[in-house]
Amino acid sequence: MPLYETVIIARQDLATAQVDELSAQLQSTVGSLGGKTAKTESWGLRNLAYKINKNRKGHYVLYHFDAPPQAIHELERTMRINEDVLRYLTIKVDEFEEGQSAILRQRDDAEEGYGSDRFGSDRGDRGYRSRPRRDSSDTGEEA
Amino acid sequence: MSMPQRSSSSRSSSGRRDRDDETPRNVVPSTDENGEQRPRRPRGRKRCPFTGPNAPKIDYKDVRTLARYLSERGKIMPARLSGVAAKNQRKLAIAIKRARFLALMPYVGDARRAVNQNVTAPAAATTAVKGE
Repeated sequence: MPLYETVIIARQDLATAQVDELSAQLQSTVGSLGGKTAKTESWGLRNLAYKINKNRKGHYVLYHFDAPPQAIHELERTMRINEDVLRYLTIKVDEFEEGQSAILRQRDDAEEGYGSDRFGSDRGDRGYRSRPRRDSSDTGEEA
Repeated sequence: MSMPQRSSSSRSSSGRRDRDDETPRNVVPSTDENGEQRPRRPRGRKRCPFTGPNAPKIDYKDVRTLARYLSERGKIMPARLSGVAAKNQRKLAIAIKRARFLALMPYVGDARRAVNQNVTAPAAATTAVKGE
């Protein structure tokens, strides 16, 4: 059976328990059509980069399925009907990734030391300030 | 403290342009012994960051890495500037588009900021990782 990787985003105002319930429901949909769930991974409630159906946040869940195409087809159909699922993405993969996915690894890095990225801080690619900020009367223009 | 490359006033007055002009990147004017200005080019071609034994995999979930290949407006950087090999650039573009679809990074706007926003979010919900 082909291997699939699915990420779903559930509505922000679901409780964690409700997300788990939804998750179990989706897995049983796949299971009843002969698919197996190799792994689930909850990314928790994350900020969305842009609003989706007026939601600013969403519960992300990742699944690894080893399932026949029909099962995935049915899974996607039910998710389209279910209004708690804001969005889903299913990708066929050659092999499953071992261990945690990149999203969770990044979060762990961040706990150890924020700003270990290329530029750090929230100044993006403008880097660090070379001089300390001056008084408020100075608007940053060169005198 | 002199900063030769920055002419912020002229740039802002002429409106925003993309960086893909005639000027080649990394050409820093340098002065030789005679005091003449000549462009100094970087030695050799920039290596593709996704080629080689310990190169990162291109993955739509790895938003930190992907954010490096976006402009501050969120546009995908041309391979010409980033040095990514053509084959990897195609994969990269697909990965970025997937990440955008899942709202992991914005279609428009500062991707690095958006990516780091979640880093500071409480990591309490990191549970239910089966099989390890």
